[in-house]
Amino acid sequence: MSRQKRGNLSLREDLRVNTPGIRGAVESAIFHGRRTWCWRMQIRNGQDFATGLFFIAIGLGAYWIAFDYPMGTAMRPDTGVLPKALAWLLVGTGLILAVKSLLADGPRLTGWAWRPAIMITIATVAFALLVDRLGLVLTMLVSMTLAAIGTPETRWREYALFAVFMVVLGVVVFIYGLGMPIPTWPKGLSWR
Amino acid sequence: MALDGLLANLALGLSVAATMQNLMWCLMGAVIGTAVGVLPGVGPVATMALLLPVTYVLPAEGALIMLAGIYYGAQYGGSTTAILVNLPGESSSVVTTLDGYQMARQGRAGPALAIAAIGSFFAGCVATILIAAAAPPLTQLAQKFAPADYFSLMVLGLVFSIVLARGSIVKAFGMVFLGMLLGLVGTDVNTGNLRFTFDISDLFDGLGFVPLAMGIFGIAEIIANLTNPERRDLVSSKVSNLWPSREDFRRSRGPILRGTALGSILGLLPGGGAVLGSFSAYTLEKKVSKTPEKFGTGMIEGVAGPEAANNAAAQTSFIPMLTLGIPSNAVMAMMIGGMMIHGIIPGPQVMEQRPGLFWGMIVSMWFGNLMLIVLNLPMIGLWVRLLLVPYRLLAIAVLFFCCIGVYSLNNSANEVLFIAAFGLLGYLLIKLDCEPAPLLLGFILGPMMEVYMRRAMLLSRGDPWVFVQRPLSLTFLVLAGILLLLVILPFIRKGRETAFQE
Repeated sequence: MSRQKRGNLSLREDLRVNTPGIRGAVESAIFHGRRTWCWRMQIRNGQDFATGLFFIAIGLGAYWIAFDYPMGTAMRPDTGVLPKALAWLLVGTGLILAVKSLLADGPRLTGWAWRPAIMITIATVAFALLVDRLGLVLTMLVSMTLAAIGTPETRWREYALFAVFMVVLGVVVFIYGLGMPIPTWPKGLSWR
Repeated sequence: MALDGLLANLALGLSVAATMQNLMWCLMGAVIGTAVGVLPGVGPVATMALLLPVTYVLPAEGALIMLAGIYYGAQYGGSTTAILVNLPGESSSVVTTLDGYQMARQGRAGPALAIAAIGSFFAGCVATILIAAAAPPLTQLAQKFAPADYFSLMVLGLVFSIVLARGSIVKAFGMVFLGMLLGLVGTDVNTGNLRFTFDISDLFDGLGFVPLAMGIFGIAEIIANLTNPERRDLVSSKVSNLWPSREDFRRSRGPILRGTALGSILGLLPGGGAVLGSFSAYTLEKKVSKTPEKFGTGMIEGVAGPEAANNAAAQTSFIPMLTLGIPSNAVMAMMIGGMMIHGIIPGPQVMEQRPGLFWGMIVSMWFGNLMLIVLNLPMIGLWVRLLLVPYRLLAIAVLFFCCIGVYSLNNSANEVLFIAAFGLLGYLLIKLDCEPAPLLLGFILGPMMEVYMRRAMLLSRGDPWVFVQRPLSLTFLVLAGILLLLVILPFIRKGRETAFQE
């Protein structure tokens, strides 16, 4: 890619191409401004850089949402004071981190564990959505199996035995023992 | 007179703690604590978060006694794994792996375990007495606090948690701010205005502490741990020859005393707690030792000191929570969560309004330590067997307990969705190398600080100088300032990093 072309990348593309870790790309330059002059800066600490961006994004988002919150007076500070102050503090912290990441070397972002992250999240969400409808037994089986898919280490025969054990334990402890108002089985056959 | 009062208080505590029911909850906490301590990848914070909803059905005394037992129980259990498997069962037993595992490889696992347990027991007893002695005067002091003083004390607490957090200080700052921001979600108590609720009715009451802690500590840990399959190299499943030799005892006496003293002090610091205690004690033992080069090759001093220190610190960290209502670490934040579930507002008034609860909990700590030494020494083989449960199954069990635990809080499936979201946030924070403990403290302290800030401003008629005009408040702020300066100086910071790396 020529310099000029890279200078025209949108910030997002630029990050995608150039931030170490996000694409695993090598450390490389971010170009700002015009064609004739551009300054070269290396992201030397991908982890800090990403953290900085994360803080800045949250801070700006919080400020935007809190924009209309009333500020009150010094004697009676109102709803908006602390949210806005914290939003700016977060942005400031993020800026420091981002600048620091250009000045000193540090660790890059390492690879994401997509498989467990996605499967564990889906398993949790599945539990939330199903438990009132399908009852505890089926929900547990679905949710635990989804979680088991999350790691390549699962041995399915061992898992099957474990799942039966957990379901029995769950029903005995939480429904009979603690008397939680969760249905054991789906109510009727309709989904309501 | 002071002694009489103390004895009367302890007698009251004894009458509460020694009831059959409360002894049972104490035992339960100790057993669960040891179990999660032994198991790597399951920590006391996540466990307490899991059990908070369950404690709802217990009386307040039983609930808090059990929750406390989990924390100090985990300190005992953590050392077992550290010594036998070379894996820290808890972060506070990281340094125990250095010399403990070497001892185990030399066939001296028994003495290492025994000294760890005895050191912990001694430290636990001393710290219990310390809590009982320190609590009343501190409580009296706390009653003189004006809102401005509380505000500044909380600032100091947050600064401590930032300074003592592992890794980058700037990130710890960000985590505190983020935590405070999360704490503001919901209805503003003073005005009734809604903040950051996105018109979601589940958010009108604010984010729950339990879903937040469970997501960030429980679910996120599962995701992270499933990525890096651990290896467990169990030295041997049978531990023989438990009793340490006379020589072992002689060499451990000093380290246990020093570890107890150091741990007790560091436990008091906000943000301190067990981890800091054990690291510092190891460093101290190395400095004091005539043969520092031998550390790491199976020196019993390197087991005795840190193990005494982490247990002492675990217990003295209750002091700021009990007397001032200020959590000094994530576990204490969890204890405050447990109190609030039972409608107890933590603070100096707890000791006066619920003396039975207060002193009962303190005395129960001594019972708990006694139970733990029995649980951990003769029954060590049982706990070792727990290590045979592979993490791939443990993870699924923990996930299920998280889900059903949060569901049972309000019988609301929507809260389970929150833990999914917080789990992802927590995983992001792990990848960004941001320690979540300051976030949790900010989450708890943020809304409290806002309340005190408003009261102080109202009392001073809008004059912000009130925070430096009151001597107590000024002292806290100056201390906070000095701490920050110390940390920003690179010289001190280097020292801090090496202390943590060792």
